[in-house]
Amino acid sequence: MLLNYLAVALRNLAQDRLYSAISLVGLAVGLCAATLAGVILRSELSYEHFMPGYENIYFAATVGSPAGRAPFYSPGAPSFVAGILKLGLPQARAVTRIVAADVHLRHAQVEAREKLYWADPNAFDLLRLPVIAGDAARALRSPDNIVLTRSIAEKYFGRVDVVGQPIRLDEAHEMTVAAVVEDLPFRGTTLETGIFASGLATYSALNQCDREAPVNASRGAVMLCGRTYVQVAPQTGLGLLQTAVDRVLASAFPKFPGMAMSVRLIPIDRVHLFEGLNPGIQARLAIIGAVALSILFASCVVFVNLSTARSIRRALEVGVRKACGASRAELILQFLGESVLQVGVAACLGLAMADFVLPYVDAFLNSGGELNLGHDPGLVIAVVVGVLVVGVLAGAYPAFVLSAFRPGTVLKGSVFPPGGSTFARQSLVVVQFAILIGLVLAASVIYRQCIYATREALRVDTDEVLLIRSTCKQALLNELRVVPGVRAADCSSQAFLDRTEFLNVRLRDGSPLAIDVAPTDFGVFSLYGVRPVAGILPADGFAQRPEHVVINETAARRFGFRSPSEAIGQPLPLAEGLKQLAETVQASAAAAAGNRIVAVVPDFSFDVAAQKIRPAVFLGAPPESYQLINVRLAGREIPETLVAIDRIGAAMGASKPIERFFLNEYIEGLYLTVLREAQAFGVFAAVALVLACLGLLGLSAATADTRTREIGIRKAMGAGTTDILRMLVWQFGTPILWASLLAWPLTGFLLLHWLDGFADHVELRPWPFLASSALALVIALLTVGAHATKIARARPVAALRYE
Amino acid sequence: MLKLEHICKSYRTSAVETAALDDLSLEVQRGEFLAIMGPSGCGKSTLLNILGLIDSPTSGSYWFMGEDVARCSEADLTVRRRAGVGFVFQNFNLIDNLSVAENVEVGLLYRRVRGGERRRRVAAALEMVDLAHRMRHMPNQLSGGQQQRVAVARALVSEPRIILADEPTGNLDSANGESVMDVLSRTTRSGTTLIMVTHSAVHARRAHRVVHMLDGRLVDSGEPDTDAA
Repeated sequence: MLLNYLAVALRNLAQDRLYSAISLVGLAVGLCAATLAGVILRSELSYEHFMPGYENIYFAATVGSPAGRAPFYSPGAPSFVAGILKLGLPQARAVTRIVAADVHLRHAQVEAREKLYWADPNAFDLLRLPVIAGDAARALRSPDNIVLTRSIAEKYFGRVDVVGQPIRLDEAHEMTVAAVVEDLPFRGTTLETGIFASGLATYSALNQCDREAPVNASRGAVMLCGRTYVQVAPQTGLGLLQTAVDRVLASAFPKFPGMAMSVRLIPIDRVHLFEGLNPGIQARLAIIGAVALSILFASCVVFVNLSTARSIRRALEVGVRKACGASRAELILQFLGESVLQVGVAACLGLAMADFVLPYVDAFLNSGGELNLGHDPGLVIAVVVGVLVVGVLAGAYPAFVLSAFRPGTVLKGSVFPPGGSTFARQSLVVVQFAILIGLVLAASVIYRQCIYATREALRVDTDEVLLIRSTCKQALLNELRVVPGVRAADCSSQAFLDRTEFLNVRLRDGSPLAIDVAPTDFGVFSLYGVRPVAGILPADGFAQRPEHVVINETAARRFGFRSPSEAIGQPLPLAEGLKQLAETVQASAAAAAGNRIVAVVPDFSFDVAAQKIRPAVFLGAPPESYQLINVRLAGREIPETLVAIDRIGAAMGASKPIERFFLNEYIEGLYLTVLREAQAFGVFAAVALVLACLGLLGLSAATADTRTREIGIRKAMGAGTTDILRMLVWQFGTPILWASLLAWPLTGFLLLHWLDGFADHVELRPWPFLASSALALVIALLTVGAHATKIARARPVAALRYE
Repeated sequence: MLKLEHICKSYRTSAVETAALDDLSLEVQRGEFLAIMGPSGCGKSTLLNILGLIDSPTSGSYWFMGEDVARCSEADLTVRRRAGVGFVFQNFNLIDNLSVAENVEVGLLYRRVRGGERRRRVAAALEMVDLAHRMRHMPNQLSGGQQQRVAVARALVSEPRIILADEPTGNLDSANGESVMDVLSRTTRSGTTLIMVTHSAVHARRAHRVVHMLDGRLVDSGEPDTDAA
């Protein structure tokens, strides 16, 4: 019996090669997408799972909540947090700290710079890395001990059994290898290195942390000391735990004006998924999952549509088998079995495709997904269950509907009320094209936002600007300014570029305010084409007039000036914070007291689309404190200009080549995630397009089959090729209109929500909606048009002899 | 063996109700060869389908080997069909993707006949219709007459007690038609009841009894007309 079913199933596949290819390839693409998404999501959700006991380990992140700004999270905690939690948190079983450092290691002739963690002696009680040699639990209890990974041991010693061997650190300290641990999994952990050295060493960064004061009251800052981990008893609820932490640390942090600080505990396997530390990660993963499911759904639509369309031809077989004694159950089993077999074949093809594509996807998304069926019973089970579920769902119509027909009815030939099944198939085509229209629309809007954010929204001229990381020496500036391809060069702080320095101040009316502080040479403004809206940018530098201050329009507004002009000549209206402001730029207290606003510039930022424009104060600083040289190039012979600049650096005695990058690259790097999303949506849209075309092609062929006799009759009655073509093509035009009505509101809503995440974004206009639907319509017409033309041109007698 | 009492069968669409059979009563004896004749659309095939348990009457009683099966469910009809009914259709209705042997074997699969026995009976059935040498061919490789003989073999292989043939020679030339009729007629010698719908008076002459239908009713029943050309 089963052999008979198998023979029928395989011969059906071979008989209708076009449909079989379309169904199987389409379904394989969907299964490939679902597999890739599943593997990547599983990888992202399995961080740190290689460490036994990870379920009870928490990471302490510091939360800063400045007035008027969104809270920010730091992947570290002040040194005092560990001690307070250890003594005061009842649920804590152990607490440990690790501090990262770049060091120089040498053994015999092998030397290199490596990253390591200086760790508390009990670090391996919490972070239980797999041990290859030695006793990791006791390894860090001696101050000169170091723990290496397998690959590091092989790099320096050529083998892994190196417990007791010496290795030199920073050419000053002889360390002893106390244990060797397994290499860290690629992309399966937030630990950056598996090399650990004992924090008991007096020269360790951890020891230095403990010696320094954690609070800088004058700057209103708290110094963070690496990472802090807390081990708790099993089954400890996070909510209660966090409440206890808040209570224990309530008075631990100093009170700064306009700034509240606290510690947030995060399960270690969720640290990299935490939005505060990795913005946008959850949305990215959700998008991967949602789009993969959409593609899988679209491919199932193709499969189901073609199966049901072709199943009409099986109706006669159903009648004959029933007349020969087949029960309904046996027919259901046959059809479901055929469907599961086809899905199984598609699954094998899809897995092969996923295996081939996964390395490229991992590289693109910077993920660590792995596909290894031989060692992954979970994946095997998921694939088997998926095949059964999809196979049963896809085969449900022929299995349950066809098998229910009475043999007498079927053998008469009067099987299906045409409206019922056609409506279902058309509905599925509508959904398929709605998915396509939605993806095309999303890709175009995301890409537009990317272009807008990296160009128009900046309001400064960022083209042909080179940034050099260097202290600002006058001699270097002078050399740069005379290079033929250089139009201007001026210095600024890093904060001028990334606005990461801010100060909590109090205004004269008592209200707190967080202001960006951006020390800079005032010549930088004209380099970027920024003209003041009020006042004049001073020509004198910091040395001559340290009291000169420039503010932006938002600052003028927030300081209470009725117009930018009113601010000119006025001091900064600060009741508190002036002293800290002066210290920021190493100005004297006198200069701070006598500060004057000399110009108000328009609001601008190099990250404006993601962050709202904040009040900013630009003031001069000693040139040696600047870390960036901004160079405006003339725009011609750029390669030669870059060579000349590199030579200047070498001539100035730099020990290594100067670090330089174009401002545009930096800005695009800020939006790399968004750009990747746009690219990903583009790829998904292309896949959805292929699936939609496959499905449409199959349906067109199936429809033409069932209407062959009708076409022959129409042609015999006088219909021309154009008439037949119009009839066949229009049939597939109406679903596009319905698909648009379905896709537009849903996609529009989701896109509006996404765009709201940006402080500055493109407007959502009607033309992308119309364009995406028009594109879908053109694609549909092109897809079915060729096949329909062939049918329409056939001689009527061939069609009438069909039956 | 088979007894129809006041059988009615109507087909209903949203707008129209068509009476295919109208108060028809008929008895068929074991081993009888009955021919049903009548103009197109008189309900011959509908009657045959009801007799063969692949359709159910709208009203009336149908005693099938002593049981009233007129209101049976499809599952119950399947069981009875499996137990003793074979079909031969005008359009052959062979399954395109199965070979000749596999087509003949279909009925035996649902009767749970084991592999060795199945192969023996398929070979015997094909031998009976003189097509054993075409066992591995596909239906589209056979002529119309050969396809109909395969269909006859399929009907015979399960050794049914009743064979229903709906215009078995309708799509065949005279030589092939005679050949098929020879095979069918032979089955009655072993006690198999044969009920055949036909337009051909020549083929109807082989029957023990001929009934005539008109507009869903029986209008005549008697021995075949031996003078018919």
